[in-house]
Amino acid sequence: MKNSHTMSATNTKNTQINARQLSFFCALVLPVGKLLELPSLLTSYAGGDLLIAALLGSAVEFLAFLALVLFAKRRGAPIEALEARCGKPTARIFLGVYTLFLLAFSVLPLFDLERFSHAAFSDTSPTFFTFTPFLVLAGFICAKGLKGVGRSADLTPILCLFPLLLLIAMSVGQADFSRLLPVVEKPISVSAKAAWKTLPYFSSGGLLLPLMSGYSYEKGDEKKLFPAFFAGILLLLLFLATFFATFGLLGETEHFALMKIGQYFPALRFIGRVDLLLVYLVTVALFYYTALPLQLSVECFCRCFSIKNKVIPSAALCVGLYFALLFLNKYNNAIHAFFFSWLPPVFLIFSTLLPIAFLLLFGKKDGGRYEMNEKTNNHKGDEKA
Amino acid sequence: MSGKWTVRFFLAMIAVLIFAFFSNDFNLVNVQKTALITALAIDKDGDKFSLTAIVANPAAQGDNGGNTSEKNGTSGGGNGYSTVEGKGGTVAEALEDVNAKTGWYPKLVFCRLLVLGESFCAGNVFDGLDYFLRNEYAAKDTLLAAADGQAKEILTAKPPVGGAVSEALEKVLADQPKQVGAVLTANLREFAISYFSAGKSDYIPLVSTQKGENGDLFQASETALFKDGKRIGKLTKEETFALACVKNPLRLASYTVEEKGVEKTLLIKNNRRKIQFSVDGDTPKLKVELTVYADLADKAESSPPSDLAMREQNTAVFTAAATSLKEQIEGAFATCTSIGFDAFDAIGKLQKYENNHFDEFKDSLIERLEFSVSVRFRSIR
Amino acid sequence: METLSLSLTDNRKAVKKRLPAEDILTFSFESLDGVECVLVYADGMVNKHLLGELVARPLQAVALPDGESRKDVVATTCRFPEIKELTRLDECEKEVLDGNALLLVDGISTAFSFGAKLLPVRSVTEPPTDVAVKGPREGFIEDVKTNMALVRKRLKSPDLRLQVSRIGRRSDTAVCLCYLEGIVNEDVKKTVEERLQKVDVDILPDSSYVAALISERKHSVFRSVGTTERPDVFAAKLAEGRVGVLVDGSPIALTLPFAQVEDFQSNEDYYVSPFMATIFRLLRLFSVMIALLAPALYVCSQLFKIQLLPLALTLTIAKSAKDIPLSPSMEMFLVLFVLEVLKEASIRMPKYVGMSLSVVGALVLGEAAVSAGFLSTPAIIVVAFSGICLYAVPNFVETGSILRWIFLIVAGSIGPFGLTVCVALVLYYMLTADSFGMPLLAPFAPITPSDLKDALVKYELLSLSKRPKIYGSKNRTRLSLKEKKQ
Repeated sequence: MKNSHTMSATNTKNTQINARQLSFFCALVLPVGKLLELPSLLTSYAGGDLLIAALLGSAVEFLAFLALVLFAKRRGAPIEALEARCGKPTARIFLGVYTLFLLAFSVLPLFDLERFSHAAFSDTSPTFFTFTPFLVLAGFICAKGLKGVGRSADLTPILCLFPLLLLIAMSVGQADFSRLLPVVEKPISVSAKAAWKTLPYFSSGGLLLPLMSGYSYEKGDEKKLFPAFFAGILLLLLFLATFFATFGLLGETEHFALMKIGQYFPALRFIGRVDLLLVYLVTVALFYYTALPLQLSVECFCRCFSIKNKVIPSAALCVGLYFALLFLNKYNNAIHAFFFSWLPPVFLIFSTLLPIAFLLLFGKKDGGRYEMNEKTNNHKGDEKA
Repeated sequence: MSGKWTVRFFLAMIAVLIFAFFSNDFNLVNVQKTALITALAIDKDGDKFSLTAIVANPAAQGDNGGNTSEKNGTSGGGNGYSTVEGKGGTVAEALEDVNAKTGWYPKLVFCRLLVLGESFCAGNVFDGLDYFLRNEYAAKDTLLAAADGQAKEILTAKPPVGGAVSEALEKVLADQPKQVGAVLTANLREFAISYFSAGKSDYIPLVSTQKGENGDLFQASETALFKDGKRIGKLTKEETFALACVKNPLRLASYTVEEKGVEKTLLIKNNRRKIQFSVDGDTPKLKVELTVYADLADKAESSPPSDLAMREQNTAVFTAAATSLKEQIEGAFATCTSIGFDAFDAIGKLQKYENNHFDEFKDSLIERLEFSVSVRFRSIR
Repeated sequence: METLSLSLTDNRKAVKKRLPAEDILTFSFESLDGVECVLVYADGMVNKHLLGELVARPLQAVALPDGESRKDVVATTCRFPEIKELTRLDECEKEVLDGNALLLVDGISTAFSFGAKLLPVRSVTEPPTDVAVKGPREGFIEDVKTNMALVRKRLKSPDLRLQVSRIGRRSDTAVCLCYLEGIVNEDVKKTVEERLQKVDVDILPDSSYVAALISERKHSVFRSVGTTERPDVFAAKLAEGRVGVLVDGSPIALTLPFAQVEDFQSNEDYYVSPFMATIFRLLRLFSVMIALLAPALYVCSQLFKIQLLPLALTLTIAKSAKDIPLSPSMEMFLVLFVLEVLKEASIRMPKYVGMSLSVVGALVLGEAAVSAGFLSTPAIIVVAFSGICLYAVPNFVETGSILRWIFLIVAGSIGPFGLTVCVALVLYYMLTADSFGMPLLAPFAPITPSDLKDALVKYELLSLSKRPKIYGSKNRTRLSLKEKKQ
């Protein structure tokens, strides 16, 4: 049964992700992706001014989000608009290039997750084989459609919000928030440079652009979306503040802040590291977040080459990733250095400037709406996988 | 993808996993084969680090008699606990030595106590403590303690009530002694944060042993002062208490003062502390306001029922106590200042609250600081 | 020949040819004027006394006229409440096999079928798999007519539709589709009807066959069709806008669409206070989580992440497991295997050996194995507790057992990371699985705020005035308080 009467009770026709789900995504999923390496990186680059650096990065992210929401309000889905206005060949080229960008986007979260899996889930450094299950999961997720993205966002209050708030609450007792003072210690250029270097982490616009194909704007949606996005920024800032209040400048050495923040809660000495169970819960959402650029790259790839069955491209991608990670996981530092030194402009272009360009070029108020066509984009893989 | 092929794929995955499950060789370390280090003593032997570890060996748990393995003539740490020594050019190498001697994988996840010997504290303690900061798996809320002499002697002492030395020491350094002002506790995380901060000053309780009838008793009422990772001085028991009154919340602490020739003990139920830092022109000022909520607990002489009923406030005792405590705090501060120790993290406060004066005062703040303290005792009734 | 003839002999022969089995009996008698009549029935399936009193005796006392009127006289003489007139042989065959009695009369090309069924059925008792401390004690039985009556008893509404169809080439099993007209989701109803029509099997021994054949996800560990043995639950689900299926020969009724949260709900939740209901539901959820994850987490804490447990507990467990020859993962595997065998054996074993085998299970496998050093006490405690917890949600036992095994194998080979990935995979699968157009994890994903009032948390009754939105019912209001007349 496709988009039956029951589905219409919870989701509008052709919509795979609705405003509420997108709000949860922005409020909870996007911040979670920033809780591994970003806190220690910002401490390293900006010291006590990490909040300002995070605010600057979030501001850049918000510009992209604003552009995409405005576009959705006025004209609908960006990629569909490009296809309609510039023709299918142009759209295909765009999708092909975007696929490559999304693959590049996925590198940092993947490598972070791989190292995080060693630290949080083991007392030793396990073999690379132990990371393989994630690639199986990613392959499974890639083979499904965007429907799963929206529904997984609906679970994030349970997966992310409560555990995160609990973790923060557990760390507040050991935190000295006066460490955040003075509010502006270094020149603003230091914070700006920190934000610039860590721009790959503030590039959610790159994920949202293809995701908008599954979203259909309804009147009043911006009243949910913008507060949700700001709530996500607030959650990130709260986490960063608590992190720095707990560790101060030592935070530079504390990789994977998510698992470090709650461990000093006094009761854990007697009941064990139950904070790790909360971390594992958040990690489920982190898996979905890390798999999202892969999922979107498969979507773009299949649309580019009009492939209906997503299973084979997903499998090929995961096998490729397996070997890539197998050989490259020894070069973590080099990859991080490359991303933070050379790739911020690329992320800026694709994640922020591109959505703004879409708005300026195709987003005039008068004009038709561009929505995802169920006929052309409904892949077999969606129904049976 | 048809459901049939999905099922076949997942069945194949499960078959692989079952094989992996039974082959059981993916860097798994069974808890039976681990040495869970609960406490470490670090000494410096020339250029080498000498570690003494109290190890809880699960395989040794429940054996009769205390010692399951005696190495290098050291005594056992208690029932199911062993004491092992290791030496190396770095702390990591010394731990490898422990592994080599015992055949157990040493794990630091449950290491709750680090005792730093005098030789180790003579240099920068972070030459050795860096290892714990680098190690992802080492607990950073480890309690720190310093020792006069060899730290190894502290860990190889025999506690009076049995059990592990580390457990006995942890009791002395735990929250309860902290709350009565007997100990200024420190943990690795806070100590490291202070080391990397502007002030670079922090303290570690000084642990000593006293021979008792049934075993060795531990004391941690004195405090070692550290600046830039090096030990520069120490505080006496009274100075430690005075600082504790200002730095920590107190619960059910005792304070004895002489008033009219009679020793009187006050029971401190609570305290309210306020430390204000400001820069007034050219003068940095540090003002401490301490309000102590207490009641008379005992006198060295007997009292009539009216006195025992405690219907009237003992203003004289409170005044005497306030004066005495104020002197002690000023004395402690003077001791710290004389050796360049930033007792109340004034440099940190300068950076936080008066950042525009930071460059001007950061190098000479301790000397130029104008310190004032006001202490008030109030009855809880 | 396909149709009946006027000759009784021919008709008898034809019927006997179609029904050669020896338990298909005939009873011949004559009317007052010597017209031959034959009753054909399956032995043991009819009420012979009723046939004798209401069919044979009246006919023997009356003269049957010739011609067309003979049929009318027979029809009026036989004072039977349920009479069908049949002209085709296949219809006659069906009626006899169904347990009805067939009357053939010489000179009439019409046969009469009397609803004189007296099938051996058990009485309506409390269902063993769905016990409630408070609430009704009735349960469905194997007879579909009785089940239909039990439903009709609770839904005395002209809107209740009970559509009976026959499925099974050789079993000709009655399958009854139940729904409330005006409330049911028409799309779901239509889909179920279509799928039932497409079913082509030899026999249909149980409703689980129907569930498997109409289900969308045929290879899934998670079911997509709900089941119940209780008429009150069945009626309540119909009243929510769902479709129900009763199958002759099975006491288990099917309801669809199905949401996974139903497994954590009990009919008793509606008979106790909403606070208790909420506590019970959350308790069931936590029990299932413990049941699925406890063995896996135990293995993880021993092999991969020792920090999960406090030091004292780690040492206590290690002390207990000191001399066990197996690694924690294999030990847990073995204990879980023993539990599953015990569970299976306790269901299958005859009652008279149940007691002694329970002793064997508890003492020998439990205490003796620990004393001998084959197994450790903590492992047995974990598995036993996990086993008990899973039975807090009986409908989830099958799925939960499989998932528990998978989690254990993953945890023992890859550790907490593998376990977390596995949980994420299972969760994602459930997120994207639908049951007749309804998401399996509704109303949590996608969130339907109004339906959350009766999901894991239960609000008080007056708050539940609307039918659940997820079932797409047209008529949403189900409860209101009448205003007091002035």
